[in-house]
Amino acid sequence: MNALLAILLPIVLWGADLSAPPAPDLVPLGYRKIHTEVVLESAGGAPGARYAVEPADGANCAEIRSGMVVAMRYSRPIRIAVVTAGEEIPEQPDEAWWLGHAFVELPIWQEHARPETSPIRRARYTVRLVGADGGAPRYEIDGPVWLDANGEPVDTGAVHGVMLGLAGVGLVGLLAIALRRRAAARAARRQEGVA
Amino acid sequence: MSAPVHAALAVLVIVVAECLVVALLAGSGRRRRALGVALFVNLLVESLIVVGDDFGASGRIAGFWLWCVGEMVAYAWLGGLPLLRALFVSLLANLVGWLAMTFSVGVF
Repeated sequence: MNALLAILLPIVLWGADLSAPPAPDLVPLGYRKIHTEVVLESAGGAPGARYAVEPADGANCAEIRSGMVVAMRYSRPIRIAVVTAGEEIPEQPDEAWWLGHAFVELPIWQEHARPETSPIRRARYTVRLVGADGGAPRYEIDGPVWLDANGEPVDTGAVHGVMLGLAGVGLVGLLAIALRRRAAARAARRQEGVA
Repeated sequence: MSAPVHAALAVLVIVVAECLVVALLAGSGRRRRALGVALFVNLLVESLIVVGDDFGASGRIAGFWLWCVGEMVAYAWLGGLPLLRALFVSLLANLVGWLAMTFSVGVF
């Protein structure tokens, strides 16, 4: 069973890092999904331009507001489109609507999972709209910033330090056991030789 | 609670839970040795899983190989358990460890 897990789990976990969206329920034992959020920092972009984002407020599409937090979803990446002044933004636009607009898909996917033991509970990306490129929105992405349950940034360096310390204790202990075992086996062989 | 303390506590919850299962299942003749191995191998593996996960897919895979194969081999080779019993002990200990962790998540 363990050997089977050893073969199958890496495949599942490797899949989690590919650019395609992972299946939402493929979370191995001992792992938990973490919430990923995207903050749209500036709705300015090109002067006078309006932008629509999907998903916003759940799964709907909405006009971008500065500081807007966009929830992630598995089915498809976040889309941002340029809309003309006065144009209404449908709550659930179909593919034809998107194709009729200059839009981009942000290369941010829902993070798959983290070990239960990890203090990381959320990932936050910040996306700044900085203009338009051939009609499509141009953007810069910062992140991810890893956050704990209180929304505070996690100092991963400090976590690694403590974890490597614990791992070191484990390694030294195992080495001590192995050496003791070897010494005991040698002593037993010597005894046999004497006998 | 700071993040490093949280992670250390979480690892210790799993280690203690797994050691309890090993103490129950190892058999009286090998209990002490298997318990020692359980303590150290779990400290090593659980800690490295947290670190490895931050290094993407290859780190995760390395952590899982250690978890799945490393633990079982350590129980069998250093703990003196027969391979099948080592497999059984490792599986059950991990299950109980993860359950303990899942139920104590709210505490941290």
